[in-house]
Amino acid sequence: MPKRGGKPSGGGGGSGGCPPWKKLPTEIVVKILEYLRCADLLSTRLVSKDFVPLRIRASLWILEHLKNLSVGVFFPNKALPEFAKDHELPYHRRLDVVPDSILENIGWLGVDFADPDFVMGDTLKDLATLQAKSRNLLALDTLNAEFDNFAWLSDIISKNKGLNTICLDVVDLTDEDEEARRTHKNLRYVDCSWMKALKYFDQQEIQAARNYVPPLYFAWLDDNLKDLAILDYHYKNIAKLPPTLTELTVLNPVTLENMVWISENQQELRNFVISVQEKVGEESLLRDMARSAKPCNAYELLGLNDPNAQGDPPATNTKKPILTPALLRRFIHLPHVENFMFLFVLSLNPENSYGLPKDKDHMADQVIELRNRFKELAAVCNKTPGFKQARFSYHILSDAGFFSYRIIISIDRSTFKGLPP
Amino acid sequence: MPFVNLESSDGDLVKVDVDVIKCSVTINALIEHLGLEDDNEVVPLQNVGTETLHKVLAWAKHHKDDLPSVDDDEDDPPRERRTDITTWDANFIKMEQIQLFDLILAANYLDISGLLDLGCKIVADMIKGKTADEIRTMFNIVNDLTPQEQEQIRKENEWCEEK
Repeated sequence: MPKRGGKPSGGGGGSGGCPPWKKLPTEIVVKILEYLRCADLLSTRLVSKDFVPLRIRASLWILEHLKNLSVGVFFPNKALPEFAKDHELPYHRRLDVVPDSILENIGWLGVDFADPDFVMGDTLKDLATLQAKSRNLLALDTLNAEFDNFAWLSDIISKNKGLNTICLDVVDLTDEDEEARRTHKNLRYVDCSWMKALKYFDQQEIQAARNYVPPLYFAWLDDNLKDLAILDYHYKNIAKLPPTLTELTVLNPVTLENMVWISENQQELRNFVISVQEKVGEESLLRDMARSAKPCNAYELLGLNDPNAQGDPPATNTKKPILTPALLRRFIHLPHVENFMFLFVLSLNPENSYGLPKDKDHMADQVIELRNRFKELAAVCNKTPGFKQARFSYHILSDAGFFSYRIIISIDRSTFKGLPP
Repeated sequence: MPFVNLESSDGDLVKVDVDVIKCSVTINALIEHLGLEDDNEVVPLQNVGTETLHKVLAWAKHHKDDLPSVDDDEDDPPRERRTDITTWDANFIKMEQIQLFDLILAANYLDISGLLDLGCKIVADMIKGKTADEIRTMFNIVNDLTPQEQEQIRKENEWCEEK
């Protein structure tokens, strides 16, 4: 776009060699365009290269049975009322009817399949077409797109250097579906180091997340990625995390050990959120916690001697524990960690539990009892210099069957000298 | 201080009632910044010629008692802005294209939103319903698009047109 603007002639002078239109600065051209209908905007594109440098912007959603292509005009980097036209293409209608220049200008791509192994018609050819043509993707939003071991996805990512938002969603995979889960591990081979933002979602986690954050997109950061959230991908370590990363949110079910490993070996992360969705049987949340050797009060959490201890020591866990005092202490003593939160979202007798009753009131009582057990957390931590905040909180929506509790600890690294032995 | 002297880019001084020109954010800021205290002080307007300045002042005088305009809601921008123009404004804005563009630039420089909106609406009206050829002729624009480029734009436009 040529440089516009300049000093008004003062009136009455001739136009000289420069058409008056070219004297108008961009902001005025945009203002004029705001008064035009779509058809007139399109006509202006044919006047000359720089008369009004409107660009085509497209978004494409590939669904099981159709493709939805939205094409519109926009003025680069300037606010302009958007004009876009939606086109529905049946799944048997190939994308090669769309001009290459529109395919090249797809900014948002959604791919949404029920099963990546059974993609209908020529859709895979369409995906190959996109793989070859797309160069200006800004956002990618997929559901069950892990076909071809992510090779397609990896290639799309490598060819679209402006891509800054990725949402990978997997549909309702149960614990029993280990075969399906295994494919997700292949994502570790996708080089994510240049990305600005990346989040993974699981259907159940979206439901849980909606209780405390806006849908799907949390906060994207403008420049380098500092904040990363990962939901329900079962690999231990993510390959090539961006070096700028200082905040990491992991939702379900990464153990604290994984986080400690990442923090000790890969990233000097300052802020962590670990959110775990736990299925709780009818008999007792508290009994489940004892059985899995999870700390049940503030002293146990921090690995300190409990002056009020009664009864037997915690049972030995047969599975890898999510949270243990030893790991927490190791975590707290990392020199760069400042804030961390453990969020446990409780699922009472989930759908696959053979019709067991859901006593929501009993569940609520137990969460409150748990809060009572942790009520000394702040007092215990305050005895140790360097704790800025330590608290236990809960969120109960009995009618909706939503129960959660969280443990939040913040440390002032300038004054923290370590936990008592 | 009821009056202020505005100096055009041609060096001419135009005495104007401050109340008339209060619609200009730029002049208000200059008066405040320069700390003008008497009627002989001069506000230099290096980007506005004398003829254009007189037009601006004529518009400002007519709209002196208008209520402040309400900004559009940025959260819900209209797809197409309203283009209603009063009879007085329609008659006022009848001028040569070069003068119209100078007036728009002056309104932009002086930050007079009502006058800027008026000028932009008029230019938009000039474009509405015209073919690319007609727009080129009207604004004296040279067509620098190759036939292939025009064909590509036409193909792209087909996907944006309301059928």
